Amino acid sequence: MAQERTQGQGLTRLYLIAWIVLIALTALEASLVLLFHLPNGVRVVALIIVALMKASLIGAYYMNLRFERLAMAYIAAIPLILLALMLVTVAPDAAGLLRRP
Amino acid sequence: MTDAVGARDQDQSLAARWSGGRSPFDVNWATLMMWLFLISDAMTFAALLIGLWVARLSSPVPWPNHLPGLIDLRFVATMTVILICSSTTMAISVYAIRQGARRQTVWFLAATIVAGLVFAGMQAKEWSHFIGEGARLTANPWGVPAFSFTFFTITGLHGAHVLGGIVYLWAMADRIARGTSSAPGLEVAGLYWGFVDLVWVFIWSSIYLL
Repeated sequence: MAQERTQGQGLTRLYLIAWIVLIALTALEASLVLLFHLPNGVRVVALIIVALMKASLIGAYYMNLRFERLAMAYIAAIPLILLALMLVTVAPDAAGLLRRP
Repeated sequence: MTDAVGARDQDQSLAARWSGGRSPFDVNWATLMMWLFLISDAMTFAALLIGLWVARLSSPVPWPNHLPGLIDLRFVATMTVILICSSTTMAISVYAIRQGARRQTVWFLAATIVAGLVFAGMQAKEWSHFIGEGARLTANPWGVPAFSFTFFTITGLHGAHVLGGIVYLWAMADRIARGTSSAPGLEVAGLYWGFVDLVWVFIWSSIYLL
């Protein structure tokens, strides 16, 4: 069980580090849009990467996935991979179809 | 004979990786059921976000979410930080109940609830600003009806999760204060609250940032 493996003071430290990193990443996201004048493509890729980093931090520490069996992480990760696939296949197709006059 | 033994050995090493017999995920049933709920809930949000992106990519006019004065990104960034803080206090309260510190648990849960209420209040303020600018569910002054529709539906469903989560955490805090709930119950609630934060990462990226 998760709680047997995660005893000890180290855990609160991990939560606090995750907290600080998450806030720093959020600040980075906001400044990517508000402060830095990057080319559009670079900004989009950077924002997606930072969002995935934040999501995996929340999943790993606040939803305990790091301390569970790998099978649990698969349950959470596989739909995400399928989702990205679906977006990649559906979005351009729909964009082409809907734009047609 | 040796082949059979080899096959059995292989079986056992596979079994070691995926074993558990009646409990292959090595979590209690409540945790597994919450995960199943969260996955299906994630699919709902995913469908909405994919809908948003399809509408957005196929829109003949640029998506109006970066029009000046429409959405204050600093305000929403503050909301995001508050939600992150609330999942940290939630994680710490789960840690506290594992240590048996009930009083501390209730305090950190109260902090989580307060942060959730602040988030919901800020969301309400943002909605009223947006409505004041002329946005309606099916119409808005910027020529892309899907813009306000996706905005209200997605942030609205997330807001409903926050409000539902506040009620859930309130009930948990009450049970823990009375001593009728234990660590596994709060861990499950912590999963739910973590998910609310997790989904917000994608909503904040899709609606406000990109």
